[in-house]
Amino acid sequence: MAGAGLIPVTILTGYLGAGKTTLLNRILSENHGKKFAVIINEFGELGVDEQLVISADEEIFEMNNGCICCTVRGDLIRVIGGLLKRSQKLDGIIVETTGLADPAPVAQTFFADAEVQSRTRLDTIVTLVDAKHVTAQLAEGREAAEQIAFADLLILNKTDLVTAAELEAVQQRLRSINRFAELIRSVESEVPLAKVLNRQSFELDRMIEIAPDFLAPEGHHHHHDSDIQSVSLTLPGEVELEDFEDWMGFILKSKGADIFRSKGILALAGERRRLVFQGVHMQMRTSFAQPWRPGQSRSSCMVFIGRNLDEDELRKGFELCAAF
Amino acid sequence: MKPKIPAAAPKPYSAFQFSFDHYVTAVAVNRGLPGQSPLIGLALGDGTVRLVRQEQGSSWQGQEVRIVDAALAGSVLCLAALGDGFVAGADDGSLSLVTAQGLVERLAHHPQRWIDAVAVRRDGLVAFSLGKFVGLRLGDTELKLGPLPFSVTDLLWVRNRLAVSHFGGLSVFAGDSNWHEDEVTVQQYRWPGNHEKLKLSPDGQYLASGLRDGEIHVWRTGDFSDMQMAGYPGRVASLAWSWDSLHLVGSGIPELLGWPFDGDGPEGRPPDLLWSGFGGQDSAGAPPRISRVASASHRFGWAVGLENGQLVLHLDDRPKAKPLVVPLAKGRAVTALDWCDLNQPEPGAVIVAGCENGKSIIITVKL
Repeated sequence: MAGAGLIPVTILTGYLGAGKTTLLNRILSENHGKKFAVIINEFGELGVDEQLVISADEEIFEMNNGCICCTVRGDLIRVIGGLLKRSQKLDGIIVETTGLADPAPVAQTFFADAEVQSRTRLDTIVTLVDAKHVTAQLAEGREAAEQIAFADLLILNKTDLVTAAELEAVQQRLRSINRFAELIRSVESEVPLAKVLNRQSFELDRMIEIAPDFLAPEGHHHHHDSDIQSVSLTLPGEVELEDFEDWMGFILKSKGADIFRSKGILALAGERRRLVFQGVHMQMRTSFAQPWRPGQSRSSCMVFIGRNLDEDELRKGFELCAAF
Repeated sequence: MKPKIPAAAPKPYSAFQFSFDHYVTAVAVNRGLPGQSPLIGLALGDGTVRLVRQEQGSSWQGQEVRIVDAALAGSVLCLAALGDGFVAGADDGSLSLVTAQGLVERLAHHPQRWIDAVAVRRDGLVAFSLGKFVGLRLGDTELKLGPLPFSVTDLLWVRNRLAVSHFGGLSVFAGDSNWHEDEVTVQQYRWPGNHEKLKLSPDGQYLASGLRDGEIHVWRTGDFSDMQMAGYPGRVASLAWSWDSLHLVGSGIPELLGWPFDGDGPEGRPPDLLWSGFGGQDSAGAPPRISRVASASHRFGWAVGLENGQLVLHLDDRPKAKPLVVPLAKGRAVTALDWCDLNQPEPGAVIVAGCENGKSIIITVKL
């Protein structure tokens, strides 16, 4: 398994009032026998008297690596560095962001800092959505849509406050922004914790299992009322790693600012293991996952979630990476 | 535990090894009063400080002092000599005074905050990190300086001024003897990047800052004009100056590179290679990187801690002199290192090192 031994990190995002604090209180009060460190934002207030709650001011650092959109959460780097010194071993780290936070810096922290990368792995980005107010929030500014776009797991919360028809419309809306996240509905943030913590969202089999659409071509039935959309690409057969790296490097450099998330599973020429990658804006991380099963037909697939994506151009570029 | 030290020792020395089973986050030496042996403090990831002292004769005695409530499972993060003991900051938000007898007095408590940097002025004035603020212990009262634009990463007294590092540069506070609010001034000295560690040259002329982004930046303490040095290929978590203030070294790379401060200074000049080839390789075949550096302040001497758990001591400045290599922890980084020169009862030094896995050593050298 990729990333074994690394502490899984869950990022909890969502608009003010979406139910983040309620979910955190559930996680902390449930008797799961696990030890989580919870990093809350400066405005957060938890009802649980829990020792491992750390209050952090969201501090956005620009990285000195020449990458203009690479910002990270400096406070997280420091807190995680400190947590790793503790004698008590952690089963996970949960990071809550403020309601209007851009999820990019917090996610990029787990790609851009060598020390953080060597000890932790980004497990899941969870976005809580207030079923009643999300439509208005989407109209208010770009934050709500970007939080939805970043998610591996969407929790459509407060479903008791809307009608069945409204709920269906909201769900369609979320799907038009992010087609690949798992979506679960809840009331008062009541969700099984196994859905939220240590999901291994980035493992290949999980990706397919939780998002069956992952491998399916999009078709054109989705109605895009937002400039954010999801694109999936598949390529039967194998990919030439060097060509792929060149192409992906170019895409992320030139379009990275508009690409919130990218993920993929590749069959490489001459490699029995699958290559899994995931990216946040211009940052990307790859690792090898389980080998292809004997007799299984090898194919590569990837998804992009972003703004103003040119699906045809992406498809053509990906196709040029095919091994021959 | 028997020290594993090679027989060919350049100077008379003795060593004592410990194993604590917890991350060693900081070490410090308190010279003590004349006639006393120095007191050594080791701060650990289990929320304790261990005090170690050499008794009459040569046996070392240790004492465990709990700082963070065991139920909180927190860690002591910083340590500095104060009075006859130490001051310790922890991730439960506490700042504590630890006396030589092992008594603990809580000086401050800020729940959900971490105190991860502390600096003691010569007269005992304690400054500590408190998020974007600096805490000052003035007698029995606590003052808050700030807020700064970003969280405090390190603190250092430059005579009566307090230099504070943070993302984007340095802030220098000055105040009257009571740090009265109306009299406190703060100057910002900007340099982009994530400043994490400060170190003053022994002659007091230069203040060096180590950046996580792989850079060292230096300010002159007279007017705080700065010096731009060429890039550095590693995270600089630790800095040390040579005793004569002519070389500045940092951690994060496999070689000991000394930035020259003679003549025109380091600007536009490459660093001198002081030492390389510490030996060994990691699993990827790369030479081990330096994780901590420390130096003598009264005479020649370097201590270098490596990511592979080795401690390398250079006590002799003759060109062909061999360093002393101590295998301290197998494959686990040296995470805390301090060098303290002593003038009594006889000239010498005490060097303390601790590792990620709790392996620690105290080496005393007679010079």
